[in-house]
Amino acid sequence: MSWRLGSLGFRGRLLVAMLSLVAATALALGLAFMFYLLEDEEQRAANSLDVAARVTTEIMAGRAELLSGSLKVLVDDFGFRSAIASDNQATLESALNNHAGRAGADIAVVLDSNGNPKATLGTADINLKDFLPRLLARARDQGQAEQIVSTGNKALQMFVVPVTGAGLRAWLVAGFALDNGFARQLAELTDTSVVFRSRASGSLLAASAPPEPFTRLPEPGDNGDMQETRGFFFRAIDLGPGQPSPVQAMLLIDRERALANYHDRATDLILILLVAVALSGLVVLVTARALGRPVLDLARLATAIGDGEPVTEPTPPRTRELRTLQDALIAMQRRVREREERIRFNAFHDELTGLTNRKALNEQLEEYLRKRRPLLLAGITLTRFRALNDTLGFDFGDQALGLAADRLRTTLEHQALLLSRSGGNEFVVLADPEAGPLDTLLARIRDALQAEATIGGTPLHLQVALAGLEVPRDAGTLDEIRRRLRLTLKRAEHSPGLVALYEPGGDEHHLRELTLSQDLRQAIATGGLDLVYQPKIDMNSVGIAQVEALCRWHHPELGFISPEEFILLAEQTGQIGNLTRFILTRIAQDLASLHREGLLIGAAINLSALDLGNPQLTDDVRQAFGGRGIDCHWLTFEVTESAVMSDAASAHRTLDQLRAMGATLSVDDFGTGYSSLSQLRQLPVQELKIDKSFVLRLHQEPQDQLIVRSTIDMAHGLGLTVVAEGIENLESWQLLQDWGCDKGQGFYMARPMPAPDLGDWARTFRTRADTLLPTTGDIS
Amino acid sequence: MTCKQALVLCFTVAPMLAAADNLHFQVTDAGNGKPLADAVIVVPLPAGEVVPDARMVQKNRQFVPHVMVVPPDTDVAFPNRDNTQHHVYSFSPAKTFEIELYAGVPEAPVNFGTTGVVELGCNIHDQMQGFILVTDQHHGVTREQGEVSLDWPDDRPRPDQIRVWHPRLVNNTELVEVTVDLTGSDPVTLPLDVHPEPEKDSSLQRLQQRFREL
Repeated sequence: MSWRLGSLGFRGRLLVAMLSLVAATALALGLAFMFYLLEDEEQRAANSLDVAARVTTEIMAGRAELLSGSLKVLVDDFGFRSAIASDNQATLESALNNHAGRAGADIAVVLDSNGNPKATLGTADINLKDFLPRLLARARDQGQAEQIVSTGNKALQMFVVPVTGAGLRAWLVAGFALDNGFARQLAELTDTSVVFRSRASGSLLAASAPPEPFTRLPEPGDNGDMQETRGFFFRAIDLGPGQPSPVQAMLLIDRERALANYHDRATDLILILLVAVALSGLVVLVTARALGRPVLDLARLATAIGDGEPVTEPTPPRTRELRTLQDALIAMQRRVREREERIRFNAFHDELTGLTNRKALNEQLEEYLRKRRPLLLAGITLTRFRALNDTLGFDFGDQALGLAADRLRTTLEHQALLLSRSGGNEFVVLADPEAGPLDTLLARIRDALQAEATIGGTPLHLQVALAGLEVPRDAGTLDEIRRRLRLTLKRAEHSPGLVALYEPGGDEHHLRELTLSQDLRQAIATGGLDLVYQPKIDMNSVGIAQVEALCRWHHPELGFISPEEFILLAEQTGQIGNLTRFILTRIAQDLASLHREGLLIGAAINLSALDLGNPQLTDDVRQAFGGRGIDCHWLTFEVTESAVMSDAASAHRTLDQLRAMGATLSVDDFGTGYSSLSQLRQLPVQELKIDKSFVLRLHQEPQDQLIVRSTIDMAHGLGLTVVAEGIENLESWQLLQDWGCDKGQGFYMARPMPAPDLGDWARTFRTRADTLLPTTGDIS
Repeated sequence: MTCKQALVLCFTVAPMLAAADNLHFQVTDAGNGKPLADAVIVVPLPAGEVVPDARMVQKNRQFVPHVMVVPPDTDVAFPNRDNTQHHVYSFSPAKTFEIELYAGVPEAPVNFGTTGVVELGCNIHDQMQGFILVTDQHHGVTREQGEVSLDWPDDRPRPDQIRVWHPRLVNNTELVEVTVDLTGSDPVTLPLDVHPEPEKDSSLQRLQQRFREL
């Protein structure tokens, strides 16, 4: 289980903080107290060892005195002296045995006045030479001598006393072992454990208890301070006169025993501190709960406010801060509600007129549609409103809108379900059909709005266009309502009375345009448009002169769409630039592949008025064809006169540029629309293309023949070449050929075809070319 | 008493010699220069006079005389003049003997057959100490002022080696050989290394004093 401090609540944090504080204090107190206790106990141990050391020294001194006294008594014994003086070895040894035993000595030696042993007792494993000569020398010097020695694995308290009598000069050497028994006595008196140890080798010589725990004691220092190991407090003292003594007594106090008291107290202390921590935890818990509950209450209050639930003001908390917080929350709730209402009002109302806005209208309409409630809809447009704004200023315009809104409100106070300003100068009125028929409603509105008025002294005559719809008869969905109302309003603006009612089917064409314009965008982007090419034939040589590129669109649902329709649509929806670029690119591709196949022909391309006004066009051309290595002299651009005239200046500029690039320019559809010969004279064109309406029935219509023939002559007179399109029979072909027309185009020679088919067609066409050659000249 | 002894010695030795007293000595403590009484000088001149009725008296818990010189094979009596019994003994190699507790005069005198220093003690009075020097040579004992004079025959060259002994010698179990120049007529001073004189006023003696007063 893992948790982070951050996930703790207020109570948890308080609890953790307070408990940490208490625990830290308790720990510090406890540690300090235990440290002092420990020091105290150690000091106590040190004191005990001090006392033990003094007692030990005292006991050793007393023992030395006692032993030396008894030895003195011994050597004064006449029998003993007699035995020594007797020079009888057996007597001497038995006397030594007897008397040394009387004194309790462990070893005994009698030396003659020269220091040579005369008799020994218990010295089998003791090397007397180690210490005796020095001891004897001291005895000679001082009368007697005492020394504690370590020999073999024993500690001995050695004495040398003179044996003198009348004429007797000898020494008695006696040794008393510092054995386990003596160590036990010392231990009992000093209340410590006692170990005798050799200074030189560190080996144990005797101990008051089984020696195992004492074998690993550290090297003892000199007499002095207490030392300690894992198991013991101890100190070492030198034994006997003469420093450094070869034997040391170690006085030891079992640590466990010394610190038992300390451990007891420490346990008590820990218990007390634990209880203190637990109690303070309890207190903190209760406090935190008391503090936390009002906070949680406030949190619930805030949540309720946030959810927008109605809340009653709870009883104020006792804590001042929390009271302030609660007041702030309540105040916040009030202000939030006010702001919400204002926002909602603003969201659904028009600021200028105070009428509902389009959003409110839409919502209301959806509501009514859902309820299938019959409605009358009146759409109102203030016509000439832009002119009003332009002439009298925007303030005046705004005031006019306000006036209109006021009048609507006044007039339709009881009849209208909703009054809405749905656009800049548009209003929509929803009314209940039961309140009266649609015509009456529209008439009332018109009369009210078109009544005379003055704003700031300026007379104002509002003019309105009105559209009427009946729901659900005329429209079933919000989308239909909006679209059909708009269309009807448009119609109303152009109708004589400025009033129109919705006519069924009125918006189908609009729908089709909408679909086509959307799909055209898609088609341009995905290459869904096809290009076909119709050859132009040189009438003199009957060879293929050029092909005219024609764009075709097969809509997946609506079938064939005529170029006139989708090009117009492209112009209206601003896609003509993209379309032209697409067409140019495709033609460039096709021409490039035809040239690669060896069919070296040029292409004629139709340009619309918008194309001519597009300053980007020449760049597009350059990019499309230059990128494929096709020179502009392969290209002919066909433009109609009306296209040139719509924006003559930029059209001329574009044409000049194209001409400068080396392209041929051609006047398309000559003879239809606005034709101006002066215009023609000024255009930088090299070719004139007679409209097919003059050519289609040329062989039957003498008037057409006259026009065509004159046009050819005129064009030639102007230095232009002439192309006739729409040739559908041999008669027309021959007439044109006779009249000197330069090129012909028409179903008789070839229908428009995809680029890959051109090669095959050209090969086939050559086989029938003979039948089209001019015959007249040869015959006559 | 010492003076009397000296007189006896003078009296006994002098008639034996043709010559007059002509060897003069003074024995001193080498440590402090004080004259030492009871020092024995032995010169290399055979002398075998038997001392008749030689006796070592115990009086006032003392051996009297403190130092006695006898020729070998002398019988010495140990009359007890105190009102306590004595247990006189010696562990000296020259003569080891013991006269167990007795009062008055012991049944038999002790014969000292070997030359050497015999130290006397009483087993029940530790402070009692006496010496019997057994020698077959010509000898003298110093008086209070440490001086002694010995006869030496005029027809013999004066000795350059003599032997000296004193109770307080460091090793008082034997005599000390000393080289001396006796050609002049002035007394020859013989400084000896001796133990310091024991305190007369020791605690033991005070105790004895008190016993005596009782």
